[in-house]
Amino acid sequence: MDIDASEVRGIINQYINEPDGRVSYILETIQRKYRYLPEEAIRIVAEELEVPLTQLFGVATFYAAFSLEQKGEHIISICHGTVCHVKGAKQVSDAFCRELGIKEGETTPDKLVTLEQVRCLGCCSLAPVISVDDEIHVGMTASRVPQIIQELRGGGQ
Amino acid sequence: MSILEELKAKGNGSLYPDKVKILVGRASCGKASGADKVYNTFIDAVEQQGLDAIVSSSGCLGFCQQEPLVAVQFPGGTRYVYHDVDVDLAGEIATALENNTLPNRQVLGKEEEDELIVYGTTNQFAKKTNFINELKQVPYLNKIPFYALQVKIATRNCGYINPASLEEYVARGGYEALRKAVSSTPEEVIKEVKDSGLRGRGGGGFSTGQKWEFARKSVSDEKYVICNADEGDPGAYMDRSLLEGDPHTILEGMAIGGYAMGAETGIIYCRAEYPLAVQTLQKAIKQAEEAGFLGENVFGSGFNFKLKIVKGQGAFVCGEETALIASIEGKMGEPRPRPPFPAVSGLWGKPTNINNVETWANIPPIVTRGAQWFSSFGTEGSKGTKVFALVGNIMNNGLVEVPMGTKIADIVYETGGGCGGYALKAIQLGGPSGGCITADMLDLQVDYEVLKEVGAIMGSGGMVVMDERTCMVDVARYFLDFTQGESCGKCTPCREGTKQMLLLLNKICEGKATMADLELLEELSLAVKDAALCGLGQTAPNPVLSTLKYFREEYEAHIIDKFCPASVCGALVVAPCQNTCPAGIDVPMYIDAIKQGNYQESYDIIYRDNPLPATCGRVCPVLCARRCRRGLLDDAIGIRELKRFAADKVFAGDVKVTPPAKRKGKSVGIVGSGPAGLTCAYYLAQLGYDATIYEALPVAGGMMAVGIPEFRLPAAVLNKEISLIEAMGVKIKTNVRVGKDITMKQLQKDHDSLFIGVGAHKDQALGIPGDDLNGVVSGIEFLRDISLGKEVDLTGKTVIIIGGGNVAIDVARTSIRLGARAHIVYRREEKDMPAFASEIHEAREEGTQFTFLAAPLKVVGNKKKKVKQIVLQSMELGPYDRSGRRRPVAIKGAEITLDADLIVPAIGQEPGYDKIDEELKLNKSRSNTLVVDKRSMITNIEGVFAGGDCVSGPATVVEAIGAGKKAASAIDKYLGGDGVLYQAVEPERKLVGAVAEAGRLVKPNCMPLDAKRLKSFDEVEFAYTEEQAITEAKRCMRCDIKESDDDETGSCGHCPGCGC
Repeated sequence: MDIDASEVRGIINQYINEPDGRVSYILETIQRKYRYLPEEAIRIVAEELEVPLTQLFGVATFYAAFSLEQKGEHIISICHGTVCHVKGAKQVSDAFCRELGIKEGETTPDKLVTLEQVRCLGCCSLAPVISVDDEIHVGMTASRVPQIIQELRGGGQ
Repeated sequence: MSILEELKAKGNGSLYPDKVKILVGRASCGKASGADKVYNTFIDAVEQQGLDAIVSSSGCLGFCQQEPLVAVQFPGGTRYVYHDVDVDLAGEIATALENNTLPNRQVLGKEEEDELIVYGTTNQFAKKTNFINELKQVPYLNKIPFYALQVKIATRNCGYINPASLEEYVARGGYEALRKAVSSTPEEVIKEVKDSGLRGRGGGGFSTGQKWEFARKSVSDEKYVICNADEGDPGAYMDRSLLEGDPHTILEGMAIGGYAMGAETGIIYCRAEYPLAVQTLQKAIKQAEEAGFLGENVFGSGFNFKLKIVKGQGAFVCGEETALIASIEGKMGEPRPRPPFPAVSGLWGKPTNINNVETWANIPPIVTRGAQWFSSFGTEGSKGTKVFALVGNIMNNGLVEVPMGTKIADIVYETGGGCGGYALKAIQLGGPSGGCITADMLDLQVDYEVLKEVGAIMGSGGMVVMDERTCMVDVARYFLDFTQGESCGKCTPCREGTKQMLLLLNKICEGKATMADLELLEELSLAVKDAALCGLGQTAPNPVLSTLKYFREEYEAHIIDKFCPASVCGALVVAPCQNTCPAGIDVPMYIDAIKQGNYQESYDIIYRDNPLPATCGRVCPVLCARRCRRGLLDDAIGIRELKRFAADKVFAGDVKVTPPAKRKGKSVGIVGSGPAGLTCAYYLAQLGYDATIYEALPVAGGMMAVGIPEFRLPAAVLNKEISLIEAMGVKIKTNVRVGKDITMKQLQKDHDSLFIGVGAHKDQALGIPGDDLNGVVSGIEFLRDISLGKEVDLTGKTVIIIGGGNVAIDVARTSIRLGARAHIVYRREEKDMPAFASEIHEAREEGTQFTFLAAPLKVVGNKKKKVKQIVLQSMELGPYDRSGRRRPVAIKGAEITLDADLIVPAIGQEPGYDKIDEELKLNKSRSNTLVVDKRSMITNIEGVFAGGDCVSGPATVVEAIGAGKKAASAIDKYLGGDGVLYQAVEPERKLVGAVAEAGRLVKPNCMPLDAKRLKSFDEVEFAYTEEQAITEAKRCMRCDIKESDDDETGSCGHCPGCGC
């Protein structure tokens, strides 16, 4: 993936003057732009912030939000929180895995969808819960899965 | 006018406008339930249709399961809250409002006053509204069970203000506390917080005031206050609700904290998974800055304070203080050893104080109302209130804020409404760091120390209710999976320890573990708890230790019996129905055989595991159907009716039984010819043993023969099944009462092993004056006499039956057929009756009268000492007992007198032994049942086994069958065999023919309810017709078919056409 170094520097400059949490904001913004953290981008950040590359590599691999591999256009997060688990998150997850032909943590070959596991989206009273990009779907059942995927395939949200 | 007064005036105008205001709950739960569409419907009504109203949004009122929640408020302030509002109802409300009325459906409650916690005052609203049809019979919102026990201090504004409105926040007392604080000294503020008794609400439970004091004492040019809004506990979301519903309370709390501790910078560390919370906070910070509540020279005090937001990028461990700090510093969230504590050296090495969202939210009211007010709530050691996320298998799901010291039973049964039909099993408190409590511990109060003592924790307030459908081993595994994945990896005990614990738990759930593994798991748990660096590792073993403490038997079942009692662990479960059946019948396969038209095959499959299919097909309570997955979609499968269909079909023709050729040359004596004894004898005979049953009564069958009436189980059907058992080689000697006609010692001489299955045939006495009068007949005796052919005419007589179980119902329906008026008296309510719902229904249809909440006081006789009347004590429902039902309590002076000819107590049975228990010196329990090893069914006497009702207490036919099989296997082992009852062959499980996508339970035909039926002892229910049977069989979803070999998903690998 081609990185626009000047854009990355632009992102860094937005946050560089506030040390509290700047790494989090910078990486989050880069991740949103490229759908992952390209190595080149991380190197630029390390250089500009004057922090060791290993520190940033650690951060990139430590937090669930960051990825060193490009994610799909759409991210489906299946909540496996306690209540969702008790109420059938496994069945919902299996349905997605079947429909998409991938396992949790993987991306479809056409890079359309990344299926992820998340622990607690905070809508426990309405379990099972998933999110499709930023939209939360509650009371999920396996039978609703094909339609959700259909909507993503047929023109995107 | 000061800034506060100015904003307050605006806010009041916005809170209580002089037109109708519609407030739609649009926090995350609301949005996810469709609140945005509802909101837009109202906006349209105003903009396009000219509805004269203001439409606004609010945060979460707490009753999340009933979202979308909409409050319709009238000028003056009275408001009605609607629940489960969809676009249609919204449209109806809008239309009705135009006619000065409101629809009277889905109204949760009304409010005619508004308590302002910060001020300690209450706004009373005018009771009159200018509205023609005031809604009738709408309860006050704060009196409905969900809200009745709640005291909203932290969540005081959620659902009442628009979180985007600073003015509304101020109008309800906002920033008054900050003003007061900065005009006092920091020491005064800290003292107030200390004296209030507030303890950390994130889980640590440390004294907040003391923590503030430490931070204040540290000398430094820079200090930080931080809000921990990482809320990583799965199942807890109260912080999210506060951030989205009342962001300013956190800002204000933190500003007060900053002032008290001498910090000029505050950071809210909010997890990125809460985008709406982050947005809401950003807006609020800007507003507060513009108003001067944040920034330079707050309230002219010289105090400067700025707030910023840092996002957590997805790591549970960052909920731990030092890991959180590392995260803000741009590093991995690895905890650091303490000391030094953050109050001394925290963020960037400066003194730092971190508090949880809910803790901050409590600060403003503590400052305005004072420590004494706050500490008037709660217990000695735990003051104030706590917000709990009451979720899981509970009727009323949502966020509840109750005073500390509230009993958990009250939260679960009153506020939560109980589990709804399923038995409560455990409550998980405190998330992955917490532990569970069991159903008989619900008298516990919510208090930090009380919960710690029992191995649980308050934690962040997660309260996950689990019922009988939950496997506690799976729960422990689930939590370990979580904490192991979230372990930062820095310290060996956590990194390696949780991994190994998880591997062991996986092994257990797959049925591959040994008892040595269990020991190792426990040892590891204690080691990790002791040695881990931070709270994550130190508490990760808690769910394991807690479930081991209270559910050890469940672990042992997985290990020793390779059995998952809750039917959850996929590797151990064929299907929930088969797994739940005490006899282990391969339900899906026999249902499929019927679907394919192979009735003999269906019968054979059943018969392999149950030698009484025609009987069970009529009387089984189908514990299996309770777990039937089809029941989640529409109705559970008619498993019992299908069993009967197969049995009746085969019985219509010739049934052959072939006794084994090879004999063992050993003999077993069985006492009692009930289902336990018959089953035990049958399997032993099949293995080649000589089995002889000794039966005291003139007929064989135990309770099946003399307890269950003819119209439910015809003697002809039962006797046919018994004759097949005899054809297998079992000898039955009736009219032989062991203990009287023959001694146990003699039986021990005559046989190589003995099985006792004497059942529970003794009715408990009423124990009241007059219970020995002529005309008081025990339920069992009554039914037995009729079954044995006694001629009884009860024409015109009144029979009063005391009890609520199947015996009571059977007596009532039998009495009616003998010409009597039947009247059942039960001490609790109908929904608490242990009898089958269908039986209660039939009894009522046939004319049985019912009186609930009444208990017998005395029986009154006439001069001839014959029953004349019974006097009953009226009861009302008192506090909850361990079974989750409310205990009936006498209403003083309230009595009912009923005329009666016959009084029949049916209040419970216990075993009678004819002294054979004394003869052998058998160990018994407190309820007079025999004590046996639960796996081998052996008593304390060598070679003597027991099972059925005499061991379990009154239970069911199928459970007795299961016990008989276990005993047969154990006796075979005892006598030198391998304990294998038959060679099991794993059938090919595949779906042939589609599953019916829609369709309710097919109901079998019955005798029409007319005068003829009420005089007849003929069977009331008929067998399915062939068409009915096949239609019903097609509804089975074949949960026994797994997708692939390594598929361990629950108990159904794929759902061919299901929506569960």
